[in-house]
Amino acid sequence: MQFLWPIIILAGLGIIFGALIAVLSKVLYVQEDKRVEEVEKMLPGYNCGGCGKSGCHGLAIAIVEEGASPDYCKPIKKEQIEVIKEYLKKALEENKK
Amino acid sequence: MEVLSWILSAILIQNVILSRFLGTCPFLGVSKSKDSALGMGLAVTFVITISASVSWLLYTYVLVPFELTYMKTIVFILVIASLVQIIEMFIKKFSPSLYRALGIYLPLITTNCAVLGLSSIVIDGTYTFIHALIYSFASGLGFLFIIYIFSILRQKTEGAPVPEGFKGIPIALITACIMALIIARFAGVA
Repeated sequence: MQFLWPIIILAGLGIIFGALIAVLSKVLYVQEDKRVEEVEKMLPGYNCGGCGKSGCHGLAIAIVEEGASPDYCKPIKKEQIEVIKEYLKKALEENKK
Repeated sequence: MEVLSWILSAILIQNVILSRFLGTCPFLGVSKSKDSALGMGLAVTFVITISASVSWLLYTYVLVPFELTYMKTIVFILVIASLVQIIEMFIKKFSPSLYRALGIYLPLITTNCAVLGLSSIVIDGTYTFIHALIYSFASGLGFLFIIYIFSILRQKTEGAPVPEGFKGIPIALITACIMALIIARFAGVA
């Protein structure tokens, strides 16, 4: 039975910390610009860092808030760039209404 | 008196950055401006204090009784990673500007060796819980102290007539070297 203790203890600690983070992430949830979330979904999601940002989330913020071009993203497909541009245009028009 | 000597030795004599040479990545990476250096220092102080205390408790009351001390590194990393995740959510909620200034260096506290180093130092058997708590907190303050002074010095050297080839990181490394020499003079005090 000796060999079971490491498994039980490590799994127990994992569950405790995981639950703590899950609860706190609900309590400390920050409402972000919805467009950032949508644009992040349209990016490949590899978090490769090829664009020079900290990850896909960082690039999505740059695209939405600073007007950076989606072709900073290296692995993205050409069609997808158009999809993101279309989406941002639409969102802008809806905002004006 | 004893407490004072613990604090002084953690801040000056055994300074994490310039005497133990732990955590030099954020030391060079986040010291470009005073504000982000201060924020990074506070975040690291917080993470070091809590992670070292939690590590001490887990090591003494869970790992030692079950004879699992060989698992200490993986358990400490679990503690540190969870704590950094939590502090990241706190900073994002309460100070978005600091969140942006720290950027990628905030999740990188996870891999800051000062944090894991302190956890490993305080469990060597000679520390009581209170000693570990105070020592790790003071070590965090030592980190904050040095990174803050370093950021001020770096801002000063930016306007100074430095030779072309030494601009930026090279002059920063020379500054750090001179600071380490000064800290090394404290070695005999303890």
